[in-house]
Amino acid sequence: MALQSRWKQKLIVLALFLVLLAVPVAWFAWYNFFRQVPQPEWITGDPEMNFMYGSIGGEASAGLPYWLIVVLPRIFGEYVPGPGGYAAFGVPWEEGRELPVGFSKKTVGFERVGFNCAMCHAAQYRISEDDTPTIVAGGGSHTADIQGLLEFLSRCANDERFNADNILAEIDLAYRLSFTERMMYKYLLIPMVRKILQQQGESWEWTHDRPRWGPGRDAPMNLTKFILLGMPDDGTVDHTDFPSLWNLKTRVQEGRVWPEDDHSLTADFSKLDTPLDRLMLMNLAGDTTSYRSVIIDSALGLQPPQDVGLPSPDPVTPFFRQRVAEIEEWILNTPAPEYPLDYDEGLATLGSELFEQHCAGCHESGRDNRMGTVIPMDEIGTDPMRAESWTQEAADKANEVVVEELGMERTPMSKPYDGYVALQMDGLWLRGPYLHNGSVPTVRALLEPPECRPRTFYRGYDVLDAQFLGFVSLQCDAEGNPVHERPAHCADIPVAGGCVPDGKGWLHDTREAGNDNSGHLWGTTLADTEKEALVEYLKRRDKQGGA
Amino acid sequence: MAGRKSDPYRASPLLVKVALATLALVVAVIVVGGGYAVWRIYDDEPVVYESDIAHFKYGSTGGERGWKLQFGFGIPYWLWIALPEVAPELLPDGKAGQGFQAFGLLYEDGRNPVFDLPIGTSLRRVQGIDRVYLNCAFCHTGSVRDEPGGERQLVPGMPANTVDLGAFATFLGDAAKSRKFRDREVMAVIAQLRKDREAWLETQPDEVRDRDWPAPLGPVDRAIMRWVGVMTMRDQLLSFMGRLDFIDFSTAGPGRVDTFNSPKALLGFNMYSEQVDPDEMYGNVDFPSVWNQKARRGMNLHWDGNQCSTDERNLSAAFGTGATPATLDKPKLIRVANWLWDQAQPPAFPPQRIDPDLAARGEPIYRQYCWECHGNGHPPFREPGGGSRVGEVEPIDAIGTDRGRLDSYTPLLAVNQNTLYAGFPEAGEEYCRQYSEAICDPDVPEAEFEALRVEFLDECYPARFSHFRKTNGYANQPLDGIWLRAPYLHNGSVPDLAALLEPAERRPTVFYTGYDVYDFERVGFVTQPGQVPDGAGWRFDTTQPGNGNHGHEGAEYGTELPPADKQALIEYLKTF
Repeated sequence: MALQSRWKQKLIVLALFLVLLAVPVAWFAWYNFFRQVPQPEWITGDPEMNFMYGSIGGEASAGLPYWLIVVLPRIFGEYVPGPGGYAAFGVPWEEGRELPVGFSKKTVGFERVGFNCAMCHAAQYRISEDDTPTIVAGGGSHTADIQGLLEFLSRCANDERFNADNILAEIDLAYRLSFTERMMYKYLLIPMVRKILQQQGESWEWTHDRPRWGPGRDAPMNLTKFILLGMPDDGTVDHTDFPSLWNLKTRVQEGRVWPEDDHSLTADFSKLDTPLDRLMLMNLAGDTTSYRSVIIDSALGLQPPQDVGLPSPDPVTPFFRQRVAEIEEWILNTPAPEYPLDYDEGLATLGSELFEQHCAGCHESGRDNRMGTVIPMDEIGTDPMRAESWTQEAADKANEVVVEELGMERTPMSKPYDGYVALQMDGLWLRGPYLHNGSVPTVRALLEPPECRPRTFYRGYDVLDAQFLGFVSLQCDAEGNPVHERPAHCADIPVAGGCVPDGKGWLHDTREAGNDNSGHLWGTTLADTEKEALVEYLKRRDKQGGA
Repeated sequence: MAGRKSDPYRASPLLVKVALATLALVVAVIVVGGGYAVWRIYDDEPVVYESDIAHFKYGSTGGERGWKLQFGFGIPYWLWIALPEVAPELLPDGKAGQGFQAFGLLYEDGRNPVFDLPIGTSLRRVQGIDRVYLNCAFCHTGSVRDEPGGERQLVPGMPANTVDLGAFATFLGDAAKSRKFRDREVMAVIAQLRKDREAWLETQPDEVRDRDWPAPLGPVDRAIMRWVGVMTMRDQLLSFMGRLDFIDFSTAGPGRVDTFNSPKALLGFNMYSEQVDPDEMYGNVDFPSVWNQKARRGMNLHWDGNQCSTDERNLSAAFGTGATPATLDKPKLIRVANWLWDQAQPPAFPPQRIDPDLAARGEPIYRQYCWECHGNGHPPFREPGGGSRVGEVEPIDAIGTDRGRLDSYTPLLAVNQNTLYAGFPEAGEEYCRQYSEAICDPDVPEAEFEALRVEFLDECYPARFSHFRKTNGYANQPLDGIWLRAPYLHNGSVPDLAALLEPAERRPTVFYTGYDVYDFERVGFVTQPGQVPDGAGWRFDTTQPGNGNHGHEGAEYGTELPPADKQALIEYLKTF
């Protein structure tokens, strides 16, 4: 009897001891790995700052340790495409800020850095070479080499020098880590991140055989298919310019969109009143029925799943939902930026009549026209690869993954028919190069027949083309004239101005898969002066807020 | 008896005693050794100076020490004094027995260049070893003499006109690469120096003997140096100089440095990539003077005006003294900053060499031609609402001087500097914002600023860098102590004021820098080929990239004034 109660006592003491021990251990784990600290007020309190630097909730699952982000460019300088840290990848970086636009710093236990929408959707421009760049949140980035940036991270991880000794030695030059932080980095974070980045590198295999994205572009549908949905590589190419996000409100007319509360898992267009070719769809090829779905799926795309043997936190949290709502609110109401340069008033007035005659049917906002609808491929005639890369099968799978597996209700991704959406003409001056794949450097060049448009040009140089709408995209000869080779029958007039300095910009070759610049023949038969007038009108239009 | 064989707990008493004694000995060794190791690892003792000037000249900013895996920049004292003796053939004049004098480093009168430290170096005992590294005075203490062989005046706060930092850095790298930089050879030199120092000290008066001499290496230290120290130091020098390999140190000459190409190395920029703009590699500029910082508050600092905060500028410059965010000795740096704030003043131009009437004639000329950009000659340089542009950036197309320095500071460098001192308080946020804004706003009244400084210095300094900007010109500087700031223009391409008041085609194309004898007529150092003795100067060629001497010329800049007016103007500038 006495023996039994002695054992019981010992057991109780042991249990109590374990419970008492568990408390500090649990607290320690919570404090160093899970504790969420809201970002500072200057970010969360300002919608524009929140867009540029605010967390979208991905740090817990996909955030990289802050100090690793800080020192990687310092250790692996030779993997950075130039002397400039992350800025050398063309991600805009405001003077005085700790991190570039698109990098959100947040404490979840320890300080982490995640990526947000602004990484691809913040456009930087300069008026002259000597200017400090102006950064416009919500624009489509023209300079960001996202492929390069993500490859950089994997290349570092695959390098032998990516180990605790080297990394901690570099961090020690910059900051005094506490003992706990040091142990965490050394035994946990660095080895884990190495593995994660190596895996991510492997998940990029499919990009190696394809032409590069170049600055200002990515492969949105293939990223979704192969990484988020885990579908097999189907060989398609879908290079797409990052689009601008502003003025969203005018893109969605009542009665012509999919009802927001219809969260079907597959898009059955037949049950809507509006015929398919009058429906206002989202994404450049109409792959989504609502802007909210675009935001959700894009945001989820910034938090790729990983497999390191640890449970991955659910990305769809209340915070995520809140951020989706905030971003939606902001881009619905943010106006397009005003054109900063001058235009010719006389020509602009002539141009407005020409626009009404030749363009408004697809491009004027606020009317019952084709703006926002998918123009069929045989009509638009532009590079078909982007449209072809998305299929009904992929759309259905996306709905299954996002809605069923991740639990985020939204209207369905879809596949209406091959074609591209007619876009708004707002902030056009900052949206170069043009067409969905950014294959035409200036608006003026778009008004030339395809064989007369520049066959090669440079993207990623951020000085505005003051005359022809777009960015400066051609290199010049010894006399300072832009070099633009074209067939003899083409009009020998300039369609792109300025000079890209030696060594700047990335060569876009329209002969590469996905880069073709044919199609969109509207306006190409106008007289030269009429084309000029159209361009001046579009500049004036952007002085008045665009759409 | 019965228990002896079968009971293991009752072994032989002798065995037990021996075992216990051994255990005790092992424990004792661990405790004592461990205690010693702990003491050594945490040992950190800089030399403390009573006067602020002495602290400026010799005080430590923390650069000697390392943090965790960092060894630190500090060179062990015995190694420091051995370097010129180990490889004298690598010195500019090939002569041993002079310490580092051949690089223009300044040893005060009565100091022995072989055993003493020059101005601009500091001594700090770290982990039980006395170590030496550079401090602010290395680049900001100069020398001037009335005549050849005359008495030197060493001036703290003056640009280090004699110091050839480039040659010195090259020497460190070359010495490390030399075959002679090996444990046995170096230890032998150190042993000889120890004996020599003993012998020399015996001949010295008490006040010299009683100075804080680093002790000779004890047996433990000798072993550490012999087996680990020398080669670790070699490694350290090689990797440090390796990071700076892309910089051609031979192009600067005495009194100059390429300020912003080294920070690119600090940030790990790949300076061999194709994306490096060739135009960004020619950033050599004169060391600036550092007096009167209080009167410069809120001005655009650095030659191109890329920085408005004196705090941030000091911390940025402190990297050059080895002080990183992890190793910075904050109180010591603040002591230097406080001295520079309102104590450090330039010495006056010898009054007996100024013609007061002529100078008076020069005043209205200055007012008409120079004041608008350069402000008053003495603090306050700027008056609120006063109308001068002193401290503001003059666009490059207007000033027309050499672009090399401007282009060396790239927009990408400017934004990446925002990651320096990351992890420290945010200057722009809530608590610290008021102070951060006040330090960059020259219109905040003095008293208000001083109060803010007292309140916020503890918590908001250092703060993460956030004030660097890319500009497109050069900042208009106050001209305090201008006589000692020759040669002129940001790149030191114009030897004296007389030449500056000539258009570029009449300025000397080639002249010699580093000679500290002064020319009181032309207002600048003696630089002409015939007048600088052989070997005493460095050949400055204005046709080399970055060395252009054009600009700051034309009617508005006084180069078209009649000679008498120019004389008067120069005379007036002598009074600054």
